[in-house]
Amino acid sequence: MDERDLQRLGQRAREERVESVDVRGRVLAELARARRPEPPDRALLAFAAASLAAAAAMTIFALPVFQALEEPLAGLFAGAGIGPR
Amino acid sequence: MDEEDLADARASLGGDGAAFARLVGRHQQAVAAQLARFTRDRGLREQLVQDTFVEAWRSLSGWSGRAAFAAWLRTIATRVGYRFWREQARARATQDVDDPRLQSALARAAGTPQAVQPREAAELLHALLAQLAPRDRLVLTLLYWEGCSVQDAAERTGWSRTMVKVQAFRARRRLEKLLPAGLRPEER
Repeated sequence: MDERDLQRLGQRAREERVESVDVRGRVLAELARARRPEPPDRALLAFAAASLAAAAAMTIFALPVFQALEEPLAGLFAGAGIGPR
Repeated sequence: MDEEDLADARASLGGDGAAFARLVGRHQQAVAAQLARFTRDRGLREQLVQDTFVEAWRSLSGWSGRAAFAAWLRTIATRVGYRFWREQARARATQDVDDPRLQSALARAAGTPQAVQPREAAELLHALLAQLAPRDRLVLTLLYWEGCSVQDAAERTGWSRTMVKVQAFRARRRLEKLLPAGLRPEER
């Protein structure tokens, strides 16, 4: 079997009649599925909410500590109506 | 048909599903015939036809309208078919060329392909080319089964014309080595 045989065999094979197909419904269904937004991942949302709550709690606790460290005399002058500077 | 294709492609880009269904309806048979060279399994072929149109829809904005829609679609179908071969390459179950039924058909087809029915010729060519690596298989399928010119094959694969010729030459040599004794060119 040489190149010419291959050409002749290909030519013969091209005469084959392929069964008809109809994929219109399947294609449109696939496109509709692709267009639909993905439902939110509930576990991920719960984890994000828990993380946010933990971060907020840490901020509420850490802010006075940070302020006290940065301005140690602020409490002393708070009632006198004057600042440390 | 080109005018209709252009109008339907524009409407599809605007979200008109019915317009895209018309495009699918007009071209699905030609795409199925092309993909029959990539798989003989009807179910898989339908899946590949579907994949081709889904991919076409995704890249529809890239179709300029200068080339015929059918030609653009053939390039996508080639890519889909080639990707399918590559995915199947490791686990591929192909007919052995030493199969006596295949050898008999090969012997009848050599020199006088009219001695075999078109379907048998297609089965034979598919079984023969399936022995090759996807790149070799693709170039021989395009050149000999689809009857593409070197230029067409280059456009479909994205290779240069020289690359197509070199790949085809090497693929033919590799195919000859896989042929059963007595069907190799030097032994005839």
